[in-house]
Amino acid sequence: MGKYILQRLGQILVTLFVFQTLLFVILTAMPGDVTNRMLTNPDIPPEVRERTRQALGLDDPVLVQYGRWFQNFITGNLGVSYSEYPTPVIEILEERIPRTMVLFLAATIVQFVVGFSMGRALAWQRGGFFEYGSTIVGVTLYTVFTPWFALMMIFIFGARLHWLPLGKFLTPILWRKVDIPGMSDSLTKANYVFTRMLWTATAAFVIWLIMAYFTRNLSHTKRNRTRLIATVIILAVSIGGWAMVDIGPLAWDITKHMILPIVTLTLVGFAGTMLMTRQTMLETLREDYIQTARAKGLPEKLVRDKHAARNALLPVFTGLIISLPSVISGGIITETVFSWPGMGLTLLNATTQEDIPLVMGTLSFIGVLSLLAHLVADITYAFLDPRIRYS
Amino acid sequence: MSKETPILAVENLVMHYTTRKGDVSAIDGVTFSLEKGHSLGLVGESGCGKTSIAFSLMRLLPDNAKIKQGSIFIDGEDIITMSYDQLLKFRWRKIAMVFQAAMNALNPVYTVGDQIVEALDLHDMIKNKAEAEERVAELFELVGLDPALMHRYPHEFSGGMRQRAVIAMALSCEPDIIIADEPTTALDVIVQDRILREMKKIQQKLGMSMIYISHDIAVIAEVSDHIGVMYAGRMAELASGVDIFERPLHPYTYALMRAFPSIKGEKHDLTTLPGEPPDLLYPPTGCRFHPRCPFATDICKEKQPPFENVGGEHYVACWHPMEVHNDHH
Ligand SMILES: Nc1ncnc2c1ncn2[C@@H]1O[C@H](COP(=O)(O)OP(=O)(O)O)[C@@H](O)[C@H]1O
Ligand code: SF4
Ligand SMILES: [Mg+2]
Repeated sequence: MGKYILQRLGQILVTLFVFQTLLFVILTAMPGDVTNRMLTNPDIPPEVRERTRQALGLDDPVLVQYGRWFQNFITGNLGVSYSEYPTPVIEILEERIPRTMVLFLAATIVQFVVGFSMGRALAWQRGGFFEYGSTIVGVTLYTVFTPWFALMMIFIFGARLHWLPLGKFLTPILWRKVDIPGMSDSLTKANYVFTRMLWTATAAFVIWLIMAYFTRNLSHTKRNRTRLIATVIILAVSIGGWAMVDIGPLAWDITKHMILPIVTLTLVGFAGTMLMTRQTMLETLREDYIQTARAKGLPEKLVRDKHAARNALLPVFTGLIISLPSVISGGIITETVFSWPGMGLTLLNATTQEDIPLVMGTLSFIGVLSLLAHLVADITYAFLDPRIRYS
Repeated sequence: MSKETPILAVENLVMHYTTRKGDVSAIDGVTFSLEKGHSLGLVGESGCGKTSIAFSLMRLLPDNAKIKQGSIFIDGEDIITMSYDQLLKFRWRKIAMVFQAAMNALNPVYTVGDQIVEALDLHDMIKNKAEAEERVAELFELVGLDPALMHRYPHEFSGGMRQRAVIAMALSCEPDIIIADEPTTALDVIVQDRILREMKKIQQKLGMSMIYISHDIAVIAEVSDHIGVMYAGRMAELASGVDIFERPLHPYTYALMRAFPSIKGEKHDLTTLPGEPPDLLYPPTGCRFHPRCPFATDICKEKQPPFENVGGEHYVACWHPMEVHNDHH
């Protein structure tokens, strides 16, 4: 196990190195450099441009620049944003990364749970209305043009029904009414509230993991029941806690802004997981150990959930890992449509405004994040499959 | 021998598989019974319906299988008409099975011990975890496995060890009957032999009834009191092991023994039976063996020979039983 993780970690570091190098190559291969803008301004004499180039080290040999780029990346020095001058890039990222992660983690998990449960059920009751209905709806949503569908969702649930906000991260009017000592603008308040929400979620998750660890030896039905009750309690305590404090409504405001993007991403994506689960379930059901489970006298529901689904989870999970990069690139579109101020939107704005440090910083961290996600997924996979854990 | 009610009584069982091309007549009027503590061997070439019988006995048949006729009484209860809930309690507790593909009969994501405990737990054979471990250790020792291995996963076991684990699992709920469907075909001959002999010893020690299934009559001979020879979904001959070897009456039984020349050291010529069992989508008329039988006459092609008692516990379904031909020689 330890060896497996070390191996993965090694691979990831190598990949990260290659990725950073590629970023550098793309940057230096572009014609001209940042000082090109000065050429279009007749008020700037050429000497100034030369001095700037020297100051920025753009005259140095490529290898020296490359070494400097790498050193800066490792020390977290990503420079200063042009478009949000003089905010350091790292500060912008610190603010945006959690927003993107929360949105896409939540969407991925919901999408996976929905897709997996439906696929599992589909494999069991073949034919009939449920199978055709969910397959047709799922595949239609899967193939639909996502930005259009997202706009439709906003149009229906935001503009027409007024159930949910149209987009963005928060409703400013609401935020001005609630005072948080020492904070004046809504943005600082938002970061304050959001950080606390993240901590709550992390703490709840850790407690859940500990609970899952201690209940692992119970019999299947008893374990499921205990875990369900514990999950409800953990959720009730965390939500109840938030409901009692002043900033509770603010947290609810942020949550409300997340619902529509999450639902949209789930609807667009669940069919992939669903069909894949159905397929692997059907294959798993032909395995001999399924026959054994039935012969032992296990009721069909347990054969399905404990034996078939548990094994079908492995390839489906692999599929999820493979689809991670597309989740991140799709994030740019989603964040733009929903005006969600995360990494995707930041990257898009930085690109259109030629904010090179911010673009490079964002891209670097998208790389770091996808590799980290891969590592987490690999470790989770090892826990799911003993053949990997013990080899 | 006292005639108490047998632990298993199969009466005129008829089973079809429905396929797109038509019905496969996989079991066609099979009758046999098994006494408590005895063992029965079912032998026949691949495709003769042995596994279909085994799966019928546990009512584990695939969805496209239809039992058309007959009854299967296990310990006095007909499992064909039994409710699903009752069936769940019956499986493994009354009748357990070592599967043909025992190598893959264990779920790769659970430890071997846990998979045995699952059965014990399901049938209320244990009260707590300590008791469960104790029982698994006991079973492991019985089949010659180190109890320390119970927390290991199937992929950490060798083929022979997995086989033993599967046998331990079949024994776990102390069933009245264990079916072993080609339990050792995937193993090398030496391991195969050892495991079979140990299985027989355990069976005698625990007083269970056993059904051994194999295409190899030599394997069957070693472990079974009675032998049923199956051909194309029917029972061709059923008798004690001694009778089958000393007085084989069905030409197919005879052919099977010639195909396996090692039995009892007798010198048979090595000619194997030509051809192969028929496709049961289109079973031959009359005696299903007639296309391959050297003694077939017109009646064999037209009428199915009855499965008749020829004295003692010897049954045969043939218009011209072998001894008659032997007399002519
Ligand atoms: N699920 C099934 N659907 C259709 N035909 C089947 C199915 N399972 C087995 N058969 C057919 O039934 C016959 C008996 O098969 P089986 O019981 O496996 O024989 P054996 O165990 O003696 O090799 C064979 O002709 C086989 O092709
Ligand atoms: S009935 Fe006829 S064809 Fe069938 S085994 Fe006997 S002799 Fe051969
Ligand atoms: Mg078979």
